[in-house]
Amino acid sequence: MLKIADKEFSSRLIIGTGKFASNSIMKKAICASGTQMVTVALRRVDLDNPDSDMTKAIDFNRLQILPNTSGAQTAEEAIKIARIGRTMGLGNWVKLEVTPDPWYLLPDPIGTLKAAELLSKDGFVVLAYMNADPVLAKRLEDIGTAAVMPLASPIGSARGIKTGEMIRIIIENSNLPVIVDAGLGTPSDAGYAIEMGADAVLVNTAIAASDDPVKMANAFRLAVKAGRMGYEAGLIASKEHAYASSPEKNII
Amino acid sequence: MKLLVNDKTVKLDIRTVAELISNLKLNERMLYIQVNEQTIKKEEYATKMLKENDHIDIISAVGGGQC
Repeated sequence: MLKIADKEFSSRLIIGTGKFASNSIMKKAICASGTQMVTVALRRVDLDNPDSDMTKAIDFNRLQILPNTSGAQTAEEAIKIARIGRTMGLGNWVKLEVTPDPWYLLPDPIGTLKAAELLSKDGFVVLAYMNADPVLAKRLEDIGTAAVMPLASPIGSARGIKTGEMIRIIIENSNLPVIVDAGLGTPSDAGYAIEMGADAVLVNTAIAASDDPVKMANAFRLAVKAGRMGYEAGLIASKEHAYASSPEKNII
Repeated sequence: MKLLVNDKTVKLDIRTVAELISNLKLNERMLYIQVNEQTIKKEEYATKMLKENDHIDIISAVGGGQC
């Protein structure tokens, strides 16, 4: 079981709800993914598109809602958005994102640490989006963060796991759940992260922007499940040269 | 009554915040509302009276994953 703060989850796949073609497809994809946690963003209501109100398509009783602080470029903005989410009734969990650079959307480590500390002290369960920096992961752990979310590659880039060596160190060192977030493009990317020992993955674009989001959600569900079984079964060590698996004696 | 909702001028036949939410067909459970930069608590939606030219900000949850 995945445990974050005081809650347990049997699914290790977290789904982002952006970019789906319709609320109906999103709802079916969430179901197919088997997820128990979804992220949402907070935005001013678009009066010209009242149908964009997706809150009616999400089962708030069954799913853990993780409002993100997307759009925040500073710690102060992120804190403000997190508090708006709590006032709205979305609970005290937050996916903290402080991203000053719009081109690569890389997180600001100093702003993230500052906001994580303030929000944790204010009673929030903070899941912090961060670059794959093992030292920052420990600093976030020290100030009360509930989970760290190192990026695999830039958000929405589908470039797969480019920060693998650093993620491996974070997993080795961390006492917190490690959720690989951003850049996962394929089910095998997600499976690989989980095989490495990541506690969970967060996927959005790879599912939402695929030709068949419902089928892709199912593919990610299976990949995460397979990855976890592989991890639990104990992966063998890699070697420098060949080792025959057929008997080496009594060769004909 | 003329109101400025999320920077857009609208004319609506309503009196309270609750009636505004209902008129806009929004999910009352999941909103953050400010009237003239003052946050309105959920329990005040039904009693908070609006007046001509009030500035109203409405924030809701939307689809989003990462940034």
